[in-house]
Amino acid sequence: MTRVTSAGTSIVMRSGLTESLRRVTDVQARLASGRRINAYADAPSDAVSSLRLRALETDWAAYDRQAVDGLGRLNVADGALQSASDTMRRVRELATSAVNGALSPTARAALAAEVGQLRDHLASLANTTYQGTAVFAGFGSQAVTRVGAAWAYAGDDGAVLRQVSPDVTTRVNVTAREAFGLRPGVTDVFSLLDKLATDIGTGDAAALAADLAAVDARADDIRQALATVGALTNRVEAAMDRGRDEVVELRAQRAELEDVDLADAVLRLSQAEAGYQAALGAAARASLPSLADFLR
Amino acid sequence: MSFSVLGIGLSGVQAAQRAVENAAHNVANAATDGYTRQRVSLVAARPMPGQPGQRGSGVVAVDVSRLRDALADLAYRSETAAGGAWSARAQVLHRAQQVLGPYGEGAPAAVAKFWAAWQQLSTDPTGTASRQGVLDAGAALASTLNSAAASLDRLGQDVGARVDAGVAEANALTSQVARLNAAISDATTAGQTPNDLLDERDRTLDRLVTLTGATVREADDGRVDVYVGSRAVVRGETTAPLSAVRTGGVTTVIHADGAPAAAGGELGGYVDTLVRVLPSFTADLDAVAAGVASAVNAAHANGFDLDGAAGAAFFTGTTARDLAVAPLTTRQVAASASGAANDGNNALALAQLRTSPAVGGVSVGDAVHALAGRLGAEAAHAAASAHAAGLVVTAVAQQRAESNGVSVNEEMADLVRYQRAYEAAARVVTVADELLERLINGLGAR
Repeated sequence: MTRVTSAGTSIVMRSGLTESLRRVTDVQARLASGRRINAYADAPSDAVSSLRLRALETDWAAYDRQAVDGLGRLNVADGALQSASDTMRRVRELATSAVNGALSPTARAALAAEVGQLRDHLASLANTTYQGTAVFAGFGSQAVTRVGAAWAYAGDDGAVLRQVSPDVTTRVNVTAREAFGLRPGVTDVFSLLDKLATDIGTGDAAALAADLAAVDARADDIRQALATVGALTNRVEAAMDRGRDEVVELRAQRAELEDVDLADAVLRLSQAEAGYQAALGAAARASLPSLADFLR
Repeated sequence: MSFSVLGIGLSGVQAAQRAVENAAHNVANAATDGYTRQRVSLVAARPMPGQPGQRGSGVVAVDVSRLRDALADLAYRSETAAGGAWSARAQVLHRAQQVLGPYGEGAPAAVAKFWAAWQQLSTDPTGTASRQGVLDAGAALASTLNSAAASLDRLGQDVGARVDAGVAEANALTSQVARLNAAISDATTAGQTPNDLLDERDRTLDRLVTLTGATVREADDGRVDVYVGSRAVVRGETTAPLSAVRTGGVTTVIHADGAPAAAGGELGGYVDTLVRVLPSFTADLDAVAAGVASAVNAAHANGFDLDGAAGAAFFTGTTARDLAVAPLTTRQVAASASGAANDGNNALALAQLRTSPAVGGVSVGDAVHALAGRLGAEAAHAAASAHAAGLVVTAVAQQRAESNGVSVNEEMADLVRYQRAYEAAARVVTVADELLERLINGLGAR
């Protein structure tokens, strides 16, 4: 026998209303925040994936900043080396004309003076700075110094590293040792230009011929350094471009996990609200007349 | 001989009156929680021997029975014990999942920002702002772990207080059950059926079972014994109170003789979180703190600061509670790998710790994410189970209310029936009166 009692009916009514209202408030909370996940318990495994995506986004932002700084450094080095390469071309012209022609002493003096100026220009290029640090000095504060008549490398062999992606950590500098011949067994370009100026003054043809060969060798050094800088720039730019694409992809994945599908949520809200209205209506009608109303 | 008609009529009137009273009592208690409908049993009175056959002698109300469904009680109590345990766990775990900070911020974000600060320092090793940035990011990370550990501790204390309050309530309820046992057994031995006392005892038992997961067993003379686990907390009219003891910050429930109580229900749920769940979260947090401190300190020691000295310890402390950034100046941050001031490669190496397995074979970030996931999963599981258990309890409660409760229509029908019976019996008395009058005043009257 199934009886119907007022106690039983009220239990069902209360429970039904609570459930209906709970469904409505759940959907409302999601719509209000615009997010499907407002706490870790809302969708635990999706929350963990989404946290990982957020961490990756922060990491990529850091990689991007490193890439931007690295590119700045490399671009400054590139500009200085281009200018140095042009300078060496002019030096070669001067040296060639000194070797070939019979020049008057005044002409030779003028050539020597220009060589001197070009040497000073090269020295200042070697000491180019980027944001207060010397570009060609490794971790030193200055690349090239002059001690009396000798030129010395005043920096160190430090490699300036930048991590531009999870698997690419690259050097972003070249030193004056490589670019300007400041290494043992090689006459550096500044001492060479000093010697060239002297030889132009004396007109020693054999010495001038040897100097010309050395000028070519130093110009090659500079071109080699330019090539290295170019390769490093490509590496950093490629990583930076990949990083920017990656971040867009990460954001899209995260939005899919975290964000609420507006159309779906609005539909669910109207369904839940309709359900709640129906439950309220049913509860209102639950006070049906009983036999007591009909007995005199 | 006619006098017996009077007696029969009187018995009818009395029985109908008793039945009407019963129906009225039921109707008056239609809305009372836990009220069990009562029914008067009317039985034909013992017949007297006579000619030509046995002669009836009316009606007698033999019993007021309480129509309680014992099986429904068993079902309700076992479901409500499970429901109480799940809802207690869900409450605690819902708060526990918030210790890592709001979703999207808090500890996971602080970890990623810490590595990014070191990366920033590597591009500007001599900049005071970048050095201060690293110290600040480390302090932020340490403080999220500190506050997570502190929140877990506070939560543990709150739950301990709830256990204390629950034990006090349970002891009050067991005393009440013992008192009711005494009253009920007195009434039963005197031949009464103490229906309303039984209802009150059942309500008390319902709450006691939800609170402690106890089992109820019938004893003699209408008493009940209540067992928590295998030990009795109520035996007849005596109680064995429970108490809450705190050892090492964890509160557990014991019986009067010191044996641990295998409590279910709400108390069982709270104690389970205190003993098993919260300490495991704290252990995970501590592992993260220890891993971060040792990995960062080791890498920091490999580098050199602005004055050329080897890096000192960056973090102090080994647990989540006491992890802190050492009182370093900005000059003491060891960003350099070679000793040169412009060298930021040690800072880069520290940033690259983001992928190194520093906590139990996984990276710091992964360990924190896994902890967040575990907090969320436990809370979600408990909430879902509590909801499901709640629905089951509601269904069983409804079934019980339907078998025990008062149906107004039934009582109204009974009222009509017994009202008519009363009127008819009263009519019988009137007829008996007329007969007697005829007999007394008519026969032999002068």
